[in-house]
Amino acid sequence: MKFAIIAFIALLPTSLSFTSPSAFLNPSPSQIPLTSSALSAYELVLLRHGESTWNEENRFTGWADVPLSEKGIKEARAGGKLMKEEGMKFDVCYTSMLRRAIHTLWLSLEELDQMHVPINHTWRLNERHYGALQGLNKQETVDKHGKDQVLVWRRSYDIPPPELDETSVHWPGNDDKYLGVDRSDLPKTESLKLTESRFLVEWESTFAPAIKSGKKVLIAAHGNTLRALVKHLDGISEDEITGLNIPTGVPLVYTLDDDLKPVKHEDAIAPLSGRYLGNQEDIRNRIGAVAAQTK
Amino acid sequence: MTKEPTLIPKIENTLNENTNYNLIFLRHGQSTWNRDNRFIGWTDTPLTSDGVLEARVAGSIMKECGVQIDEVHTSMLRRSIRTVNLVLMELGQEYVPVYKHWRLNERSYGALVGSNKKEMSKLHGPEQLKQWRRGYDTPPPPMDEQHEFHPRKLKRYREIKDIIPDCESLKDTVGRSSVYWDTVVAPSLKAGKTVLIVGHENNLRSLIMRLEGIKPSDIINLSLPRAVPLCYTVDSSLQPVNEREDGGKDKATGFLTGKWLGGDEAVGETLERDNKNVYDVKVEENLELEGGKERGEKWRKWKEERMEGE
Repeated sequence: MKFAIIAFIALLPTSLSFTSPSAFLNPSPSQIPLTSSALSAYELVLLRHGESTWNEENRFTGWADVPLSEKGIKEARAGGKLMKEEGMKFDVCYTSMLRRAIHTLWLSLEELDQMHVPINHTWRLNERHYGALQGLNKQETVDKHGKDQVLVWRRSYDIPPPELDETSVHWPGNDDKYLGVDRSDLPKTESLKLTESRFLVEWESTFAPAIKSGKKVLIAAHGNTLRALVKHLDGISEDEITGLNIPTGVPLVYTLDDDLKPVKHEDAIAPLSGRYLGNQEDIRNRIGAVAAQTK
Repeated sequence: MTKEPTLIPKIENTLNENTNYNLIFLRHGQSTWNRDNRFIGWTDTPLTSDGVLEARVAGSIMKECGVQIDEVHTSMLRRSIRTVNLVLMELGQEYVPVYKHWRLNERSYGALVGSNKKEMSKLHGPEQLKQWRRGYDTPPPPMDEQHEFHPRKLKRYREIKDIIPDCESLKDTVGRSSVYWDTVVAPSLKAGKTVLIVGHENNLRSLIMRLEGIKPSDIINLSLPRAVPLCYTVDSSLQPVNEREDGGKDKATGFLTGKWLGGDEAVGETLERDNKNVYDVKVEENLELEGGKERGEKWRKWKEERMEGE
């Protein structure tokens, strides 16, 4: 009997951080059979959360768990509406441990009328950790350290900001939500490169298998983890990725072939193969706007 | 000599450090059809703004009582899922795992779904209504395939198409929810987790009936208010530990060893109002609408007063 097997699985030890055995008890509506066609085998949708209260205050956020601003809430709903208009249906969602991404996901699912879809949280989707800069105002930091140094910290591929120490309120080891995570995995600072490597662990172990099993996946996350994701999918160079701006609150839709290689969409904006939903001109403008934050 | 209950040691990385509660039940906040006094069942009605407030008050009371959760179980219905989201927001715990399952969906009200409760009392008589709503093994008349609100039409239930009920008695709901309890909730509790179950009146009654050992002849007298946390400490054999000095039951319903966060009196008042709204055919006005914003103020004030006493 099916439930005997599920009961066995349910008794397996679980950790706080990720996949629950009782995910097996959830119905999984669309098991799409693998097609022999190389085109349009899988779809993956990415969503960067909207403005947070610290974005509004122009502060380095990283792992600080600030909420969405009023504007961010509107962006999340707008993103959900765009997905609804496309008739999108999801089987599973992944997001980080940070409320700005989680609320974005919740609000989108409300607009989509798909609140019943299972959601899984992982710290590996968290925004890049900003080390000792977390909490500081961006302009003040520029005034203190100089524009060039801050630019290096923000936009270099592999140079992380200065480390914080374990007494800092921003060290994840002092935050209960990460009790289930190995201390050695918790960052004191991160470059984009480090963010990418800890993100890729989850891509390999969880996201890619979910997509390959035919599930329609929605990932609601942060600027740098989504950069890591698209860099991996589209083979974007280290130089190019650091300057790439992914606009907030705009669903980014990828179609992947049998080998999870992206199929380039006619509306794609280079270097991405995926397409953004919504007004294309607005989006192109916005891609230019994020860079202005520390001019 | 009574044996001291063996408490379950908390799981190593528990988030619940402050309280002994390891099991909390919460009924969702007011949805549109609660406000309109209609039978809902599996119909996916959204929360009203009052319902959002109810859920947030529940979450903030839990926060003030020091409650933190390790995991949440809820139904596939948006009124309870949104209640979960609002409660987690108030608790500051949006990151905990939330499991959504059809086995925690509300009892199916069959052909009654969509109809007005007071009208049905007038039509069938309050006694029949009470049997259908609160009795143990009296199912309401079944929904036929063409019923406007039959859940079988929905893609989200496609995997369970063949087992979706056309109507359920409370007994049927017990059969449905107890599978989930036994295979998922019980192992979590035994592992030392603090579990929050956000659900629906009759589905929660089906779980609580088993937990408290309430007899089929008695269960007809148990109703549950929306959005008031009901907290339990269960021991290693998943029996509730009664912490009341007199070892008695709650004053609001008389059946429960669990504790209403927010106090028994307010719960008693709410249950009386709910009762009148369905069965008292002399009362014409819809008591769900009484107050509205005023009720929100009353809740907030009452919550403040109560917190002073903590």
